[in-house]
Amino acid sequence: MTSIHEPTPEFERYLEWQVTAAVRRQNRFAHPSASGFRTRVRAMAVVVASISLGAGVVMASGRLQQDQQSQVLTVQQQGELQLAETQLTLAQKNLDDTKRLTELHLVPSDDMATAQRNVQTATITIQRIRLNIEEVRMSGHPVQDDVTAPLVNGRDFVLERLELDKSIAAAAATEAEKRLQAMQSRYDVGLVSQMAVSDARTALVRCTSDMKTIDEKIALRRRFISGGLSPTDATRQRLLIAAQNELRSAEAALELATQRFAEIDRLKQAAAAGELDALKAQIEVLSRRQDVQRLRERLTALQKGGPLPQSGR
Amino acid sequence: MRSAPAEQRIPDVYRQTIGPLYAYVARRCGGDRALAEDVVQETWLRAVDVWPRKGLPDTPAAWLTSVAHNLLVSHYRRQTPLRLSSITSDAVLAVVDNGFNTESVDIERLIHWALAQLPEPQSKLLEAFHLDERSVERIAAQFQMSERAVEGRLRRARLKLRKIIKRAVTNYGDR
Repeated sequence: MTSIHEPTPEFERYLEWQVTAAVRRQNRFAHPSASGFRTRVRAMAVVVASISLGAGVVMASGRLQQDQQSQVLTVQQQGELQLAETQLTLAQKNLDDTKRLTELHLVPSDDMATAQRNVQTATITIQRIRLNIEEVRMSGHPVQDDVTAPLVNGRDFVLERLELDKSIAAAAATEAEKRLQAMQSRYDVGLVSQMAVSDARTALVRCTSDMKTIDEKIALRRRFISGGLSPTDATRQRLLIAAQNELRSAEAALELATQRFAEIDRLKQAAAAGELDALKAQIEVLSRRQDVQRLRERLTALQKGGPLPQSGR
Repeated sequence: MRSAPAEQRIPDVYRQTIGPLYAYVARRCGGDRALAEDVVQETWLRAVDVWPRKGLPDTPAAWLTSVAHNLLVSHYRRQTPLRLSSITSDAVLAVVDNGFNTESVDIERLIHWALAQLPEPQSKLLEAFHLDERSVERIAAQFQMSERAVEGRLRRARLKLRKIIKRAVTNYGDR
């Protein structure tokens, strides 16, 4: 049965006929002098129509279309690969520059951690795109990244991608940890405010939460592939994991916003901050609180067993 | 546009792009196959009108997608959100918060209608994330902005979408 996201063969053939006929008609009436070309177009239209009409050829046509779709997808992925390779070159160059500047003490040492992370992320992104190209070539379909996606010729591309995502998240967490240590040291000698430390701590909470989420998704994928979970249960679990991650990040953001508001309020009393800054900080707190409340409600609904999705990441 | 003999290449382009184009449109039609077919057909009729005169675009798939997107936006903007008697605003907003995942065709259509009411940059961002399932990282690269900026804009766009939906359900339904 045709999926709702695929055209029916009848529609596809009908539109093909319509397109070919429109091209032929335009050619016939708009350019009467181009007789040689017209003949070729007409001949091509006849060939196309014959191909479309031949019952036996319908299957071959379908296979051909799948091959062509695969080629189109591969070309798209190769475009992404080129972009990612350029980003890697840029990240590498930036790392070299940062290394040089750090040796000359012209930039803080934690800039190195960011530059290193960028190189690592770009490298893993390239690996991820190569995996996508391989999957498209093997399956002839777009990449499927859901935890309930089937294996492709026995190979688990979803799990392989999740492992790569975990490496990216681990690199980000390492960088966030180094930044927090650096901020703490600077705070201890009075170079930065407490807020800078809180900012760095929130970033670390976020990275750690992302890693935990990926670990849970990996475990979920393994359970699904081993047959321990139905697609419906796996989807519900995936949504739960995502909602829990969002909630952890939102709670950290709320805590940070609350601290920032308290700090601005303190500065306001010392006339070092204005009314507008205080209002902005207060709005930020209220907005974050709403986020947390909404996410808690969503989590509760999912735990109770709310409506299930049709698709998703 | 290049001045290549477009007539010869149009049937090939058709066969290469019909699948991805249809999938792109169908994801935005809330299960309405007739609408998806109309939009795809109209898109292609426009292509065969323009391409033989102006030549094939450099990326025909992007041209087709762009025309289809505009047709869908025009379609949804002309519609009033119908059949809302069975939908509560809470149910729709829960779907918006839940990554647009729903089994309800009515809710899906209402969301597509609401997306069409948003300014284009916001609707494109939400569509890229929720309908085309692109990661924040990829969107950031595509729109040349930081991941934090994408997250912020997504958040604001979602809030705006919620407001539009809430207003629509209050005016036309939620009874």
